[in-house]
Amino acid sequence: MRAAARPLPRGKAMRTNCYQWAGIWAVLLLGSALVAAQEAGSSASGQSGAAQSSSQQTKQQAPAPEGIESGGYRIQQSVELGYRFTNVNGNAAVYNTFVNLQSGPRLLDQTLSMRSLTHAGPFDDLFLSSFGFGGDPNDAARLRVTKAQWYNLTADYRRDQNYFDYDLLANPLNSPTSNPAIQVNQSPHGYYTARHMGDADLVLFPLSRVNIRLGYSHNGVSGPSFSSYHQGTEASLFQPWSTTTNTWRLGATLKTADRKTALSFDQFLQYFKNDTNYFLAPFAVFLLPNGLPASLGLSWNTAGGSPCGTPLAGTIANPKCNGYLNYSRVEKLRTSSPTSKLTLISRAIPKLDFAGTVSYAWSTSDTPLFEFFSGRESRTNLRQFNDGGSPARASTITTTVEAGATYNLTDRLRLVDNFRFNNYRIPGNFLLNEFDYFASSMLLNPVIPPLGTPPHTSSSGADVFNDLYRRFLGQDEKVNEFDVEYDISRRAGVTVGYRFRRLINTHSWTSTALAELYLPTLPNRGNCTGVPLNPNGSCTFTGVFDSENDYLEINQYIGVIGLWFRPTDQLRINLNTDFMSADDILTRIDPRHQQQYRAHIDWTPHPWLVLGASANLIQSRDPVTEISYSAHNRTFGFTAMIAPNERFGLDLAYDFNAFQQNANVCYSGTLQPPGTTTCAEESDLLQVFGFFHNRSQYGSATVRFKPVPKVTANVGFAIESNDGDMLILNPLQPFGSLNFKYYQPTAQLEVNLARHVDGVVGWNYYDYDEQSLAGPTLPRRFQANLVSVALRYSF
Amino acid sequence: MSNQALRVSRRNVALTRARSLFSRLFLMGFLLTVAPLLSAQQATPATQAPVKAPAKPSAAPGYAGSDACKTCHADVYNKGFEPTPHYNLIKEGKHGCEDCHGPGQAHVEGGGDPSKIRRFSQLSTVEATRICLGCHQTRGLEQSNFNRSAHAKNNVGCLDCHSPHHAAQPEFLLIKSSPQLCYGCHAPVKAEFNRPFRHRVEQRLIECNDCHNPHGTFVARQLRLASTQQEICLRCHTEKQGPFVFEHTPVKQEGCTSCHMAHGSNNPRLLRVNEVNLLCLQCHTPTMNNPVPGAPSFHNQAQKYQACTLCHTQIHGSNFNEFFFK
Repeated sequence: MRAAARPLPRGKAMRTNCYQWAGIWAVLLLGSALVAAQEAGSSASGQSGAAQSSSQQTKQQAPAPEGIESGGYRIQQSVELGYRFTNVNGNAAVYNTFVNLQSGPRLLDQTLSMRSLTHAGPFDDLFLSSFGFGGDPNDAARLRVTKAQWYNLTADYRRDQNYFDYDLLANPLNSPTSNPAIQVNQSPHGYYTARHMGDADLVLFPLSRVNIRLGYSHNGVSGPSFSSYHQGTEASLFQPWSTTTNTWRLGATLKTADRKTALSFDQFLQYFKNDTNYFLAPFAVFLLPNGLPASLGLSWNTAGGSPCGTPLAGTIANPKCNGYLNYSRVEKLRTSSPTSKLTLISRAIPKLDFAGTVSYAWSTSDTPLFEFFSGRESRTNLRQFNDGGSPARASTITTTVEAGATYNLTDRLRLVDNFRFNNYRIPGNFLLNEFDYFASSMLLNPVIPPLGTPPHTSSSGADVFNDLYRRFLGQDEKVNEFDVEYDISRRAGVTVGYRFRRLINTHSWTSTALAELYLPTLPNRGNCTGVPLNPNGSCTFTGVFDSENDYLEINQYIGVIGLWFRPTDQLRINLNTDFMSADDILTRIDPRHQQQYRAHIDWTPHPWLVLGASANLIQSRDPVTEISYSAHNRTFGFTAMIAPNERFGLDLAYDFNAFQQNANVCYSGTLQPPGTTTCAEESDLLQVFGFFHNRSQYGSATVRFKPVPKVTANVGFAIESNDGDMLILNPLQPFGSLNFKYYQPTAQLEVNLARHVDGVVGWNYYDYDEQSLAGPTLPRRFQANLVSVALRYSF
Repeated sequence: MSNQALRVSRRNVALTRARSLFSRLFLMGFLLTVAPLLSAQQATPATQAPVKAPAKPSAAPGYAGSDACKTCHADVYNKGFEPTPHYNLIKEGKHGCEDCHGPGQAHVEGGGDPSKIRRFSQLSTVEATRICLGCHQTRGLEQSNFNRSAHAKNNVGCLDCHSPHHAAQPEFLLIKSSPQLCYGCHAPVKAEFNRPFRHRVEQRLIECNDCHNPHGTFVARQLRLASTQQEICLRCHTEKQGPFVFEHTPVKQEGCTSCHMAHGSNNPRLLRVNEVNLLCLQCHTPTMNNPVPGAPSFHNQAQKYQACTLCHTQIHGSNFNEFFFK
């Protein structure tokens, strides 16, 4: 109808439509192909990073295209294809961890919007957007298609290339005075994985009295990563990550004829697979006297006995040192989690609206443990052990009830109640079947009785473990908040409320030896100390060797006050505060008293000037002398958006954050900061005030100007300055990312080259600079220049 | 009439007559596969599908009908109503413009007297929101708890984020795209997402809406829940979901934020404290009436033991080791 009302010359109209539709569907097909290609090539993408769109880098959004009308739809489309050039100096691993934008051609941005003017076609709205395809670390495609009375389809695909190698994480900070001195220059827990996420949801007959919902989500993570394992010393492990989660959703809603009440039922089924395995990733490998390679581990502090006092004789490894010849751990975890959920929404009763859900979830996970170690633990003479499939099984049974009601006493006065009950229990058990073998040197084969007598030490464990570990964790949570909301006028209102929260936590465990066998030598060791020997001189221990039952009830009382003012339509002020008091705590960094104050002001004195300011203060403390926990998180922000005309715009933002978290800590160590005393509860430990202070300032400014109609320029600058202080218990420990400056200037130039075609050139600079000592690893500073050149086609 | 047009005509007949669930499902499949091609053919007026004639709601007393509104408000009607989902009100046989703005006959007869029509700019936030929720509260599960949301308590209503007639973002009729829309009030969050270690919101990989429901939930901070009714973090980080035989109790009993800062942090792994050993020690210190074990006396913090997770690698929970070694 609309096309008829605004006719084009028929030939031109047909050609235009033909080209435009061809372009639209080419984008759809190209997007689909890229998604498919990306999925297929993901496993090969390895550690290489990628980039983001130039518009993301410069934090500027391209203006929405004007659009065309065709086929009964208003259509707007934009496609930006380009190439990014990247040059990085300094620590490339940290650059990849923070930014990870690499060189290469990219689909930088794509949007398509089709909105029906007649509402007579197969869909009313279609929105498709995508970005990052071609090798960026983050790429995504999102699709939403709706036909109001018939269906609502949403689908998305997202990929996150996770490059994580911040070298201070899990770094043992090996001593430079060790002999030899070996640094760990990469994080032992580096991750180079890719996460693929996809969701699809379809609602059928969304406006009908009965509608049906179908959904599916996929979440797969795979790629190389690294971990570590302690057995005498710490081995570096290669951890080829492989997890997959599939979730299916099925639901239906039934509404009453007046549409005032809706009853919904949803059934979810999540199935999780973890096939991540662990293998020795040799680090600090030296040859033993017999020529076999041994990995002496990540930790090198010979004065402290890591991996031992004298690990090397020349370049030959000491066979009596802690070390690894081989290690592997294979799991096959499977977790199924069905969840049922019933929801009732109603405003059938005058002045009352109600929403409530009841859900029941039951997760069950199973996995066997296959583990093999070959090497040596010098403290116990352990030479080898293996688990041949020890089974572990755990469940979570969760019941949740949520209900909320609002009763409108008058047009201005409302009573609001929110209730939540959440109860879960997690029973689990693990049956350990492990065979341990001993020898006094890595050069010797493990002693297998009766061919020899294992050379145990007093610290050696059993030769055969057959232990059952039973664990139970549970929580019962009830929260109720009752608020009175009163609108003083159209310009002001107040909320006063009271929230009560009760937590009942239970944690119990029993560790039972079904049969632990201790062979000579020294059979009366470990759990067999004092146990009569068997006739053959061995010792068998059965019975409970560890059990506990903890119960904790915590009651929290919270007062809630909120005020809002809108003195004029251009000014909005919000003030909120919560006061919490608790009668007990679960962890030492839980507050017994907490106050939160929030203030927010928005002022739009002119349509082209928007000012905002906010403050958020959280104060937490536990005055118990032994703990002396205190913490705060204080944030102050200011924003300004100035856009007096289409040719000039300025965005400003400043944020200050002060965070601290302090508590007395007890520790073991040779470094004793001022104020160190003996631990109140354990005399062989030291006690000191464990403080952490962090102050962050973030500022950004972006200027947008259009000197001539066909040229748009954006220039921006962002800086984050971070400093702080914390308790240092290791003199080699750097502050790292506690003290840094991070500069990110940007610039972007857009030139209209032809009708519907813009050229876009973007520049980004990253300069990350830590302000403290580097520590016994690589410094983490980097600078990077990124230039992207792109063409944008839009209509 | 061409074959193509004939097919389109038959499709419309089927659309109007289909009542059974089976036939609707069949039709859905047809629409999703063939419809784009049919739609392309509709570009020429000769093959354009006829629009189902709307009902005549203007016959109701006090109502003028949307056509009357269009007479004076053509620009809003053409650009801000017709291409939006709200136009379906007319398709459903309802009043269209007057479903939200109220009966307009007096307004028309008064020569466009603005005092005789409901103008949202003159309504309080609560009043305007009530009108939106009249349809949207039970339409889906998403908006059902809005009246109890933090937004509602702070006088933030539907029209603070949505603009039915002048939306800058046609999808969901938003006044701005996310996350800029959220930053408008939650400015400090932008700084958090610009920290070195952060969730990739600025990169558009995830959106505020993925974790929060701006229309309210039963959980603090308007957070959503994962399908297993656990914390929303576990929707993506499923490997930390468990259940584990050996649970690290605060993870389950207090949640992820007892150790992590969800939006962004200056600390690796989004930890609340820069060095992991201090974070661990703040809980793992022997304390009267607290069963949490302290760090052992052989863990010399001046040596490798400052990197707790070097050994306790499975710190979120383990199936095989009570010390989270494996």
